[in-house]
Amino acid sequence: MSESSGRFRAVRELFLELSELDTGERGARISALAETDAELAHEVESLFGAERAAGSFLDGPAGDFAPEVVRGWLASEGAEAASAVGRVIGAWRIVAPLGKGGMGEVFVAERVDGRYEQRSALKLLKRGMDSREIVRRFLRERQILARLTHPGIARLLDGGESDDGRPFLVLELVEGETITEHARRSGASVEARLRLLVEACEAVESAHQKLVVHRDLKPSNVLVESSSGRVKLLDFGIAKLLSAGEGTELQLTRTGSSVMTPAYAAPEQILGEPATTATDVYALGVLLYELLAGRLPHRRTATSAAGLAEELQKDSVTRPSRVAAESGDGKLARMLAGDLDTIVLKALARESERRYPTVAALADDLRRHLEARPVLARADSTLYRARKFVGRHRGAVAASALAVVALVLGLAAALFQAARADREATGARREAARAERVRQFVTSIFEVSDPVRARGETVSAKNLLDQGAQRVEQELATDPDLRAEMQHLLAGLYRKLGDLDAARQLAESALALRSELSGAESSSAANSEWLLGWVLANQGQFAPARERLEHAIAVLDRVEGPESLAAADAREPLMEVLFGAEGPAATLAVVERRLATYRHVLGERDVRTAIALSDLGVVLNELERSPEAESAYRQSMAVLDTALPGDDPRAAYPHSNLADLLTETGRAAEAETEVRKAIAIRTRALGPAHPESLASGGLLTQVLLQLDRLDEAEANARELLVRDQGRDRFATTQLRAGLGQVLLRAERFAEALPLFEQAIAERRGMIPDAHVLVFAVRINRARALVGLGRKGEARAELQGMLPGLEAKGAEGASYLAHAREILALIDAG
Amino acid sequence: MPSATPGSGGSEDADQITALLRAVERGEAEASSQLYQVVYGELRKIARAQLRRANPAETLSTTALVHEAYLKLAGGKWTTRDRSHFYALTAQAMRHVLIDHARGRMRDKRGGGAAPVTLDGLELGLPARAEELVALDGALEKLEASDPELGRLVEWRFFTGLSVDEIAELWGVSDRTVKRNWRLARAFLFRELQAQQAGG
Repeated sequence: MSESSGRFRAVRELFLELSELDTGERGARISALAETDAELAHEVESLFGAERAAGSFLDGPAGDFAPEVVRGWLASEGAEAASAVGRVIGAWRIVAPLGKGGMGEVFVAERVDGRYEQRSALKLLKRGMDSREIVRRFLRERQILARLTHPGIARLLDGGESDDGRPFLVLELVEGETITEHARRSGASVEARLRLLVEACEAVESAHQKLVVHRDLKPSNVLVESSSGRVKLLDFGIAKLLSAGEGTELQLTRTGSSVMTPAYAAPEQILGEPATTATDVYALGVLLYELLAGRLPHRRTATSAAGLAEELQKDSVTRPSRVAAESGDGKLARMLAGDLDTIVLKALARESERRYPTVAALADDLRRHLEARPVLARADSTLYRARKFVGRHRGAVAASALAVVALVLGLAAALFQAARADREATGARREAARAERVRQFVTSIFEVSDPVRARGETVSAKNLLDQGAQRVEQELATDPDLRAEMQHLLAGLYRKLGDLDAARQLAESALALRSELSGAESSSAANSEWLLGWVLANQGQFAPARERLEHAIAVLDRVEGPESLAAADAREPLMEVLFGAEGPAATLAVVERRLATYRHVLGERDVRTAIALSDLGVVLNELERSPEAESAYRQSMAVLDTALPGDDPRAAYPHSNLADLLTETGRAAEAETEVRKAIAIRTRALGPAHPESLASGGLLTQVLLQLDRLDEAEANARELLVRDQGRDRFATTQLRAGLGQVLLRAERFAEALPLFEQAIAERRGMIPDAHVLVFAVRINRARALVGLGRKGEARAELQGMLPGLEAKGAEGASYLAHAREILALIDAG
Repeated sequence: MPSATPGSGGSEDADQITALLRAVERGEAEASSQLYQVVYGELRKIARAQLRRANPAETLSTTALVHEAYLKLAGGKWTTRDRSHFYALTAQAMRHVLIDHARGRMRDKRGGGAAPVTLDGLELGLPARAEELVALDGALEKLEASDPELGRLVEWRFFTGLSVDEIAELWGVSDRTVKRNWRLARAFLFRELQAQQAGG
């Protein structure tokens, strides 16, 4: 008890101390004090005097006069709105009541002096709501609105305090209808609806640029003005400032909020986490969904925070096209399928990191769609699919210094030979000199001058490249030709090491230099361009990657002719991008063209030809042409097993791919042979903890399960988890789920359940909730629950999944059938 | 339709209010104002219900009102700190209701303005005149400026009708401490009102 300030603290202490003394003793103490601190003595004495005179003052609680007051209080609120008409507040006269919010009432008002002709909206804080906190919040809306001047945001005209001390705001009065009503009533086309939402996005984005998050976007706050047809945002009442501009706002930056509208609230709002710009992205996603599908994406009926959080767990969004299809509008369904479904679902991703990073990005994708350009939202699922493809046929290059040395020397040799070929062809001395300098430069990268860094084997591959890149910039400034050469070489190495930012920067510089030196349509520029495209694809930027790759290939085909090896090489990343973005059918021609060039130029027994054959097998298998795929794999391994040394990881591709095919077709015994070969090669080449080695090990677990060798399967699954060093988080969850499957088969449900739960939790952070691989683990979890007799939970889990699986179409079909099967079992038992 | 719409009833309110209390603990300024709205709404709802079932002559007491709101809103898991926070808010709400009402009546009668103050009503614990309440509010503001804690004590005692025992328990101090502080607060307010009277 010590909040008293300064002087009063002494008064309080003394009063409390003396209060229980009798009058005489107290008088003596006060007189004594008067000698040293007359003022304090006087103050305390006067308080005791007041106490004596106070009698029974304040002894009864205020409650004693409540009946009259309570009646008055209850009566006041309804009456006030009506009686307010005609009242003058500040420079404004109230014309009519307009509406009511949580803390304020809204009126139509006009300027008393007629200086502003339009009618305005006047928002007055409700009586009884004027606690300090609420007043502050009300004033903050004013502060926030004062920052926002955008034609798409209803603007602030005035503000102040009424006679009875209540704050008010005057806003531009927007006469119109809600965005959804407008779309429905006017029968707006899909295109017109998208344009409205883009407009809303622009207004929200302008607020975000001023560091204001709206936090309560919903149809009633997004109007279409009747006179102008423009979208206008209203009600920044619960908006939040993202960062402090002035000192007074500082404390507001931390405020999370549970004021929201459940139907439009983002998951993080429901969970009581802080709102960010991604929160507005989500709400715009809900609006978009509503505009396209004609209904809300979720059914949120709970009214408590806990209930909403529970519903959130079961949320899964049906694609708008499917909603349209179900309501019998096939034409609309076709318009929505594809891009628009993807855009909506990306805006509505449960994890904010998976949504569009900004409202502008959402608007961009909508504009792209309107202009029929490729949509970036695809990158999310595409990246995943491309990764899957890459993982199936391609081993990552071990990031050891040794590997880079080998690569650099190999490339240097290749460059050198290329240059020599040029020299022989042209006889130019300049070319000879250049080739020599390339060789010298590359060699010099390995002459590590820094003794500290040179100690022992601590020189990492990355170190070498960083030094090389630095020296290129320092020493080759005057030799643009060699500089471009080296940048290109280093970009390729950085890409293989996985340092994609560095790779991209160098590839961009090399491309720029080479375009300048030889022209943008030269084969040297095209080579750097497709390298850049490859880096972009690795970064998940599929649309720009594809543009780069296709342009580079067109140039190479034109300049170098149909037999261009460079064009064939460039078709490898293009294949990856197309496979991810469009699927196997669109990829087939590219793979076949690449293979044909290699066959023709390099011959049937070349390593590149054999690898392309294995790639062809992957595509054929995806197209369910498995006999042809199998034959491609077998041809490929016949070459690679002999042409490559035993520790070259590439030799594992066809074995691993064939093992996949055999497992899928139930030929488990043959699959075991192939998968063991792949494991042997990968372990030798990459080490036992490498994600590729582990992935093959995971496949072995599946194979052993198929063969009903449960003990071996369990031992294998457990060993993999021990070996795993977590280099690839997704691989780790695969391994965990794999062990769970073994335990499930062994009917050790209690052990299996936590593994699935952990895997689900881990996957949710990495891939979209609606991804089949999340469903797969959830189905296994449900099976474990059934095994444990927790049928109710299992049923809820499965039923919660059905809409999401239905929305997946063919991709989810087998999982859907499985889920239904288990449900039927539950109901039967 | 904000979820914080005052008084949507039952245990959901309790859930919501507990969530808000946690948010207040985390230092989210906004949660505090939402909490206030919920509490205020609940008080109104209970007051309306009480008014409907009361016979016209019966007294409606703020003490009963606050108590009922407590029973309605408090979950089993409330800590002392939660309860303190709740009473602080109800006290604030009741103070607003009473003072606003008083101000309104003064305006109705005289179109606003200050009036001479007597202490009769407050002294006798009888229905106080509007002017007295408004004057008390002003004096309380002065006390709050000198010593916020004493201000709170008055709010809790006078506007929500909490007993000395209850306050002592919530604040984790002895009855004796609360009583001595109450004497000081009362003396301060009385002296302040006397001074106003003399000056007015």
